[in-house]
Amino acid sequence: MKKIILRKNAYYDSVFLMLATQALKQAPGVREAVVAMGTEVNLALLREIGLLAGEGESARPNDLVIAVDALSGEAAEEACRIAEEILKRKRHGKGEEEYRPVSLDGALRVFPEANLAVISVPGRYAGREARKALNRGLHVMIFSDHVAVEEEVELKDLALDKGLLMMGPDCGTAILNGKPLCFANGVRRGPIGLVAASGSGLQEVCCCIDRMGGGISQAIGTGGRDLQDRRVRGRMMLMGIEALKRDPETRVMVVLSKPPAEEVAAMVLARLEQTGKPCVVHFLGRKPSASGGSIRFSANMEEAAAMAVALSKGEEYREISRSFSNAKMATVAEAEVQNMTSEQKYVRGLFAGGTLAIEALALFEQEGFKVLSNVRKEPGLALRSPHRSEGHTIVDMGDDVFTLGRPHPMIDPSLREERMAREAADPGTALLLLDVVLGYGAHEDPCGPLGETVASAKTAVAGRGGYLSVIASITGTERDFQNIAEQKKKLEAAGCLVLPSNYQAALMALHVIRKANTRWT
Amino acid sequence: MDVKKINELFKKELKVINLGLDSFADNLRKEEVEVLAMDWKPPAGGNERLISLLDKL
Amino acid sequence: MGQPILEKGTGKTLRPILVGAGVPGLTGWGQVVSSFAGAVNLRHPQGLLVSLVEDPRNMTSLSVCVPALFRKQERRLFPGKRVRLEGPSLATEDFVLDLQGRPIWQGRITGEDVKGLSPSKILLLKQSLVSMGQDGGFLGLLRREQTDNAFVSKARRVLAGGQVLCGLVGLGPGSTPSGDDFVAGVLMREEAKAVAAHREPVIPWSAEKEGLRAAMDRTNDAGKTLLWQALHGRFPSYLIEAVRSVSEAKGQQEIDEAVERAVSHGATSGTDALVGFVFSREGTFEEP
Repeated sequence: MKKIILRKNAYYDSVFLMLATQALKQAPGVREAVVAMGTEVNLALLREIGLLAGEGESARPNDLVIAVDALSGEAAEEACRIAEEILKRKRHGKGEEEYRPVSLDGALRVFPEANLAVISVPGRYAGREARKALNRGLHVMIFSDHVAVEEEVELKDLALDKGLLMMGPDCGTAILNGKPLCFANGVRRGPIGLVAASGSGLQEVCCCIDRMGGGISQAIGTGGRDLQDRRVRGRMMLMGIEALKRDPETRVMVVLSKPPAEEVAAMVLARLEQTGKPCVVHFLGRKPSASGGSIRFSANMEEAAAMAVALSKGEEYREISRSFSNAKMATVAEAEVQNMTSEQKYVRGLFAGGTLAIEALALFEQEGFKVLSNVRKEPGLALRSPHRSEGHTIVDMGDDVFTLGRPHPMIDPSLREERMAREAADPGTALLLLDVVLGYGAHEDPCGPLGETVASAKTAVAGRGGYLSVIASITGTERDFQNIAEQKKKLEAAGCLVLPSNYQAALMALHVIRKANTRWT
Repeated sequence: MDVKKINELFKKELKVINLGLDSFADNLRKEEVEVLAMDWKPPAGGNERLISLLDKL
Repeated sequence: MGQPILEKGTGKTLRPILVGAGVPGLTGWGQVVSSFAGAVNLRHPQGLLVSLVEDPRNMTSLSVCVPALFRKQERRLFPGKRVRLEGPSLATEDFVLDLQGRPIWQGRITGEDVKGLSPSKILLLKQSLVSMGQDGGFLGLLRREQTDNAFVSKARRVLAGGQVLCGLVGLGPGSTPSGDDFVAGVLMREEAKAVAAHREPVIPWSAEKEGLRAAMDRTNDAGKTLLWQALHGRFPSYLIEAVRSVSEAKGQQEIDEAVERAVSHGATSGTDALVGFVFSREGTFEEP
């Protein structure tokens, strides 16, 4: 069983590489291990001896290639894990030690002009490091979750006191000064400033803005609890709004969050009014209140983007420009259900982005469908087991119950793929609704394996005389390294319908499910 | 609420210290952001009681 | 690149104790690609690496020896940091390395380095290498037995096919591929012969060198950097020191010591370079 690990632009010390090679050769079940730079002639040699595969093919001379041939799949996996572990440690020999500070103080001695700390260490340590960083005058982004809410409140109070950003905990996305932080996309610069209490939501809105020709000044993340937990009371949301109010590059503001606690919402809206800039507010899953003053409420994330772009161009917003009109959607839906069996009725939404799942869920609920989900906690709406769908089901596969001990589905698609196969085996499944997120932090080719899984799921259902509809949206931009056009092609080649936004994908799914449930009457 | 420093940050080049996942630092480098990746280790070898003692120093 | 990060006057000026001859000729924006306890490597857009080193024994013609940079670990350069190479100086946001008027390190083989080299010494060198060289790279080329090292097998096939040195560029393990170290060693031997025969130190350009020039772009930065210098008759300090030591050696022991020092360089770099050095252009290792 052969496996390749690639490290792009690797500048490791030779002695380290030699030790790594020895360690790999001694790993149980390893027949052969080669560690070398990805030069043409080395790749040719690896190919000759049958060790070149997968991403090794695309290696460049400055990339490090580790090729392993083991007696079994498990041994190969284990060897790769050992290799990854070794590369992480970057052990040295003979005095050649790579300089990497182990403490924040050490880091600041060497880099006193640092202005931002990005923290993704385990949650129980993250708060402490964040406090140190704030006390040293750094702005902070905490990607980690599992930080106690009391600690979050203390950190945000400290940040308020010092006038610094404290984005997080559980802040997966931010774009500052045009630079993507953690999971983020390459988005055009422009006059729209965003403050969001949601990672994948912020990604979706920013990508829609980019697609519509708009641009962003800053996208500040507040962390998931900022508005939802009364104790945190929107501390960072309010700071973000204040900063964007004073930012000359920001002319339009967008606020995005799951529905906040009532009095927190009131505070946020009042503060937005005071900015004197036009604002678009989207509280997911909540129907828009009547817009008033300079605040407009959007009905979905794509609309929030469209409204913001119109405002930034000084135009009046009319409606989203859709790939398919309602009439066209009905036609497409008709074609999709043509070959379904009478048992196929249910939507199975499998989402990597939590906010994207919520948006789809809200849309179905608004249209009168009863949908179970692991996102809902109320009895009757909560899935009894998140691993098993019942009736209409929408699942957030990034939820803790799935990610404990495993990488997030945005990085590792295998868990979702297994679930897709199970849904395809369920005769009640009519439709799979999916999200794909591109950009930094995400998988380098999500639609490759996903496309294959879609194809085999469809084949499995067709083999039983039915038809599986698969609908997806891709959250990404042309600047993202995964190549959004290629990704879309891969899904479409597998028979998946690809819509340009999460909202439109959910809407299309709605049409299909309606048709699937009414055609027999 | 004093947000002066945040607005100042908006006008400067980001200079980042990364604690944790190296991939975040790598991605920033691709965007030509100056980033120092720390080889972060849990303090006191992860010993909680020792950590709180160290904090008091 | 956009942002002019070095417009404002920088505070500190550092003076190196040695400047590699090739450094002032490289201008443009560089970026730090690796940072070690005693060396920082900058990548020039041409793909050449300029090294800032603490110890003069690690000099090359593309190095700058500046111990002050490594003291007190202040203002250290780390991967990603941009450095402007301006010719007479290297500038970062925090300090300027002023190269003007500083001693230039040439990296050339001189008459002094080779006057005691003889066929018998080369033979002793080879023997020493066989017993003390570091395995894992191209040391296997000195032995005749079967090898399970795929790189060595490949190298043997390339060499058996005729004088195709370019076929070795980029071949082998190590952060500088073994083949590149080997070729540098071969070129150093040519240079040594030319100097010993009182020819002009610069060996005339040849089809083989043209081939190597082209092959240089097919290896990584470290290999390209080594080969670029070798093609200009410049070699790393530790190799010149090894040659000189062998030249001055009065017996096997001194040769052994010289080999021991050289092969401790890198993992197999020193070994591979010396294997190249003792490689006879007739395809055998018998005659120097």
